[in-house]
Amino acid sequence: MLDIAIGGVLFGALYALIAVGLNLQYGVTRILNLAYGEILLIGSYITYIFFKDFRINPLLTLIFSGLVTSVLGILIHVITFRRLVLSAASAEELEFRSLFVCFGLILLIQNLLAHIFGVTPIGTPYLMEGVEIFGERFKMNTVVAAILSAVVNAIMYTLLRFTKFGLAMRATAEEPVGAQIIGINILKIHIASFSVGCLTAALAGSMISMIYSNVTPYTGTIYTVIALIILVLGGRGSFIGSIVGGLIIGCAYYAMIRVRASLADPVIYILLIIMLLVRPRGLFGRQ
Amino acid sequence: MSRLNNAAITKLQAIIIIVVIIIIAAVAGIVYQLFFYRPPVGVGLPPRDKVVVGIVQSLSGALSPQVTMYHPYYKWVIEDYNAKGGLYVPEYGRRFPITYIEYDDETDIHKMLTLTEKLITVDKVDLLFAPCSTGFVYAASSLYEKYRYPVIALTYGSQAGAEKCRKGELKYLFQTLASPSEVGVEVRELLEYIRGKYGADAVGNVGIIYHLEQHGVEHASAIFGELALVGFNIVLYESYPFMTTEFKPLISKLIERKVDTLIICGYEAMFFVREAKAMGYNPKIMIVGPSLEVPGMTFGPLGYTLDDVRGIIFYDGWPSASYTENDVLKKWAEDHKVRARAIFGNEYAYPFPAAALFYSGLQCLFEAVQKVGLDREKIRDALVTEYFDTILGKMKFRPGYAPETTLGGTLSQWQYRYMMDTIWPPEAKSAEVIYPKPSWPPS
Repeated sequence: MLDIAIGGVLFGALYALIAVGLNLQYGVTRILNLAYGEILLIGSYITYIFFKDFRINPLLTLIFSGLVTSVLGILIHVITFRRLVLSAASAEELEFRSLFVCFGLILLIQNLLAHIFGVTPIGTPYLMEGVEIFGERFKMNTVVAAILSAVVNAIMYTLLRFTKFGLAMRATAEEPVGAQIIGINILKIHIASFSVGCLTAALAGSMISMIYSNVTPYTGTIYTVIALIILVLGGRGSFIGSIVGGLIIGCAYYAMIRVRASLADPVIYILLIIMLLVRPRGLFGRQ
Repeated sequence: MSRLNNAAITKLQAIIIIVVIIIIAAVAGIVYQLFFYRPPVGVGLPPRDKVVVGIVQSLSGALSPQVTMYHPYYKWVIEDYNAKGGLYVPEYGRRFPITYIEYDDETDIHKMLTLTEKLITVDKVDLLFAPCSTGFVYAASSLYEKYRYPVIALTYGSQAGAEKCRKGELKYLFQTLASPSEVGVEVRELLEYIRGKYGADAVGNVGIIYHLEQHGVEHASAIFGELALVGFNIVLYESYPFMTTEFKPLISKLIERKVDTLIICGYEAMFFVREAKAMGYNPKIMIVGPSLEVPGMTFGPLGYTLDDVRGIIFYDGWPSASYTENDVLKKWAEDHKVRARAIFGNEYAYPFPAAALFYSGLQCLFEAVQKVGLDREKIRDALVTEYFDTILGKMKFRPGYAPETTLGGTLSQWQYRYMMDTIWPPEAKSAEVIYPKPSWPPS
């Protein structure tokens, strides 16, 4: 049981890291960034390039992948979503129209990655040795990913809870019109949240490159789906929800692999359906 | 009058002379026809300046990595024949350059079918190459039957498809890989050999895990059936989600059940092995499906060392070739390393076990054309009746079964080289099986 508990938490922590950025983006901007997984892949590819071509320690490449994708996030928002935000008559219209932009972004990023790097899988295998925790052995890179997830989530929590900037973000998420009335530049907040979301996605992508080492331009969708499941379970726009949702999904999947592996996927989707039926706003979602 | 009468021939003599003349003429005609007659070449045939091959494959989308790794041979075989002056077409009595029309199905099965039909009906290609993956090939097989195009499928292995081929329901589809029922026999034979050589306990408890997809289900079921029949002690038979990356919980179960011989029917061994190594789980025998057999991937992006994978046996029914034992294959393997380097970007771009088989399968198609021309019915018949010279020696297709080859093996194992060694069957092996699997190297 102990191995399931620890393994589930480690696995769930990685999932929480994957999901936190999408939840922040959607919570604040109401833009459901379906190209999130592709942005995550950019992080994987950056780690790969810096490791392969410059022999930089993969953990150090987290800095580069974070920086590059946060700037990319700003650019994507300014070039594509900003106009939508300004012209949309309602939040629903913004959500609807942004979906089409996201589909375009998915194809654009996939094809660009395929064009630049080819479609052969890439990877940056690192810290693959085992490490013992309470008598159970786990891969070192999954432990590092869990620690990174904890650190990122702690920083995010501090940012959202204890800074003016975080307050402005929460205000924009909860009451955008009111936020504007009291002088918050919601466009800037949107750009910032988009940028931070892309940054955390890239960190997750870099870790995935180290853990699984089987990244292609077309594997992004898997991570978008994982993040969406956690978003629905934890609650749209809820920071705590993405952590709890990630841990629940991670632990459930992990435990099911142990009990009856063939049921692991169905159980996750049953959980999702139950949540949508019983509590559609998710565990910690706003009304 | 009497002189005249004497000089004249009788009616009987006249008849005899005429019959003899007819016989001589007939014999001369037959001899000429058989030994001296050369039919007029190209008369009545449409003008031709090339042989066109049609290819639909997933150049983008989820299957494109597989296409890149497993299908470079389409272009290579065309290049190689063109370098020799092209493809000889007997009805024209000369060689023609081979060109190809290639479409990208974007990993969309409907698009693949539409484009295949376009190649046949609009582009009117002479020959077709198969798309990538079992599902896509199986879907396209109805078009091959409808339009009677003999096709050599590379990345394809289906029990259902094999049985249709055996019954003659799929006459134009030829597989290069063994079907799951053949793999079952090979694995059983190898384990029996190990049991015979190393003692009754050598194989011990057997665990079979498989992914929930056609490949895993069909192969696991075939192997299970074979092993159960001869009394191997199967203590675990369990499926797992397709392309899962998390194996630790399943490995805990394998440890609990004391699994000595592990068989993984799926494409996920690349993740499993990493986890098993981290956990220190090392079965005596590990047999895996496609995943760790491509050197350019295994020692490149996946980051394994030869010590990590030594002892791992590869089934998938891909008749491996003894790349190290035969001069033709040795040269081909070295060329492969140079040609495939661009694909993997590393120095390990050696062929995987079935690489030569894929290439030689395509050679058979071209050799059949050189023998019987571009009549597709004749090509189809030639493929099942004739042996063709390939880099694997003599090769012949058998509907619904792996092809017969001089140098074909069935099971291979990572040993001491960056190419797998053939370990089964005994008459084709390049090395003795390593038993037990060595322990994991220190990290």
